[in-house]
Amino acid sequence: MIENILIGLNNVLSIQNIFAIFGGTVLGLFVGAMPGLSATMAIALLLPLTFGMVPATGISMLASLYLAAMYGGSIAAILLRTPGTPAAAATIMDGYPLAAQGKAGKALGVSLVSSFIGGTISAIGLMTIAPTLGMVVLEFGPVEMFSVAVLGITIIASLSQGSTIRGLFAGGLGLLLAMVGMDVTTGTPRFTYGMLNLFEGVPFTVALIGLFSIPQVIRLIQADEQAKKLISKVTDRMLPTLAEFRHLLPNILRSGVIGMFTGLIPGAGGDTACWFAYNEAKRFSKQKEKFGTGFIDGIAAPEAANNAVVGGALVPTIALGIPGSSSTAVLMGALMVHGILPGPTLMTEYADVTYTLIWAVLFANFSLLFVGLAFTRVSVYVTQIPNRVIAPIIVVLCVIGSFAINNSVFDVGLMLIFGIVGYVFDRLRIPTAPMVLGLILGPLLDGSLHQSLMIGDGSYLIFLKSPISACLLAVALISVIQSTPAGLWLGRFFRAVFRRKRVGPTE
Amino acid sequence: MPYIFVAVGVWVLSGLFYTSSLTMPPAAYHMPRILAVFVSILAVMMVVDVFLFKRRNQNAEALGAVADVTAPYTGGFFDGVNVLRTGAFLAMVIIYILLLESVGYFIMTPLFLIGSLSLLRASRTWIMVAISLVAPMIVYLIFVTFLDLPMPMGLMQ
Repeated sequence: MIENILIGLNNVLSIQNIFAIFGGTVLGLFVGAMPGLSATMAIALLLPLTFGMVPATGISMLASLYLAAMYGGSIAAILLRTPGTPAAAATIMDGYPLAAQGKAGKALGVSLVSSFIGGTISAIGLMTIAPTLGMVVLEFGPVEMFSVAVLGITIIASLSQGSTIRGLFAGGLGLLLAMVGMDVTTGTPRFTYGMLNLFEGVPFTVALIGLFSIPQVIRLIQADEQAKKLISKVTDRMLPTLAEFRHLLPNILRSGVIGMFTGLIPGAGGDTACWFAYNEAKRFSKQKEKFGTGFIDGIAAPEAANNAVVGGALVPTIALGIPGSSSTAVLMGALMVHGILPGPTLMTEYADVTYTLIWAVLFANFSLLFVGLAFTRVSVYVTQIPNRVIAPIIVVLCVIGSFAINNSVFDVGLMLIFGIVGYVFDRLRIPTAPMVLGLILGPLLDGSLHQSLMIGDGSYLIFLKSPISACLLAVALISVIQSTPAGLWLGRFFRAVFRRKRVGPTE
Repeated sequence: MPYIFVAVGVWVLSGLFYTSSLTMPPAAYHMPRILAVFVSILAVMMVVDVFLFKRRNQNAEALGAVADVTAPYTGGFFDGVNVLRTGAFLAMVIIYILLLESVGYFIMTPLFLIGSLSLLRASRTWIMVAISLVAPMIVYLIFVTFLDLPMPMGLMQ
């Protein structure tokens, strides 16, 4: 393991990877600063750019972009009272009031320093937890991998926004669409209906670009252009003073840990972590009444938490092949584009790429601090670009990006279809993240089912004979039940039983 | 109700997949059949869930209570959507995609950009013209010159 860690460090320090991290950070900062553009969309849109790069460089760039977009989101939140990304929603509470007092620089500086510390905490967490968990997963066979995939789909479906039924529906549809293409075991073309372009399956990169970018484009053209000139200049000092830093440190550390652990839970991302950390900061504070009035603690908490989510969300992605958020699902897609399959091989066969990615997340934090200090004042101008100018440019990037994947206009059409499906789902509050996960995990689920049934002589009981698999499936079942009315009913039933047992002897 | 349209679409897709799987060897049809049945059941459950939610919340809606963002969408699909603007924009995107390969990136992209920016009344005319000419050049430089990725050149090939 130590050898792989050193190989990863050596890789990340190469000139092209340092450039990739720096470039990704700058891009992420600007994309995050634009209201209405999410980190997930930016990663999906820029994914085709990594085709021409070696895997480690491409993945490092996308991971840096993800991290920087989290901070970038706070720029629009603080200056325009509109979160650049959903993860920056809680930053508005104190960020905008502080900026309105003429201290926009201080608000952005606190956000930057908190993002840096939160991100660094999670990168250290990622470096320690992911390899350990990965070593455990190395013992997994096809039976356990099938259960891991089932668990991934059910957890993300039950935790993502909307009801469990809608989440499971989207996940199931993604899995069904992943069945299109040549069956690896028998060589039978499935559901291709004579279309040669579908023989290799639905290209998930194309689906990712469509699902995450086109709905956003439609939303951008729908929204009436608002005057984006609330605060258009940053003139005061950015970095907090030493006294302020000392005051903020415990809050930042606590929020960083909250963010990292929230990220570990598949389906719970920066948008959950930022509110969680904000509420905890308020609960622990001796000056609760100052929250919401431009208090720096109210900026530090959500910003440390949303950047800490990045490392946390990458842990299940790397170790288990279950993405912790939609952004990491796209990152996982990027790994697969380069022929790297998620799961146990990430820690063995592709350990060099995996450890480079882990180091890249750590270095991206330092790059973010530097880029943030140098470019935050410039990025303020990006927030002023009208949405209706951005929307057609995103379409061009979507079209050219999906064409570049297989040099095919068929893929571009497919991207548009997925985009329209994504918009319909978005409007009906059907989450798209489980669908993406279904598309990615579909082949793994199918392959491991074949292998498991062969091991078990065609019996489905094989999944219950392995204790690990049985436990994972039980957790999957519980995660579904707890988020349905049946879960509430069972909870009430067990509480009543326990109460009766406790009261019984005294009576 | 929009959910019924989605459910019907998914039933058609699942039915099509299920019938196609009848001619496949067992190893190839196992998973798709399980999933086709699973998704069809979930589509029914989704419609029932929305129906029950609507019935439970009829009074709250009538009183204008703020809906939970995680609750099912109960309005009309096109409520609050500028259908004309969105339709025209999507039509432009479709024309752009259809003609991209035959006409080529360097002709179609500036035309699409100027057309869509004008439709959306995005900015002043000279800014829209400048964007339509400069943006395709930047995208070309990144994709082709820097990253060596393919681009449909059409008539300019």
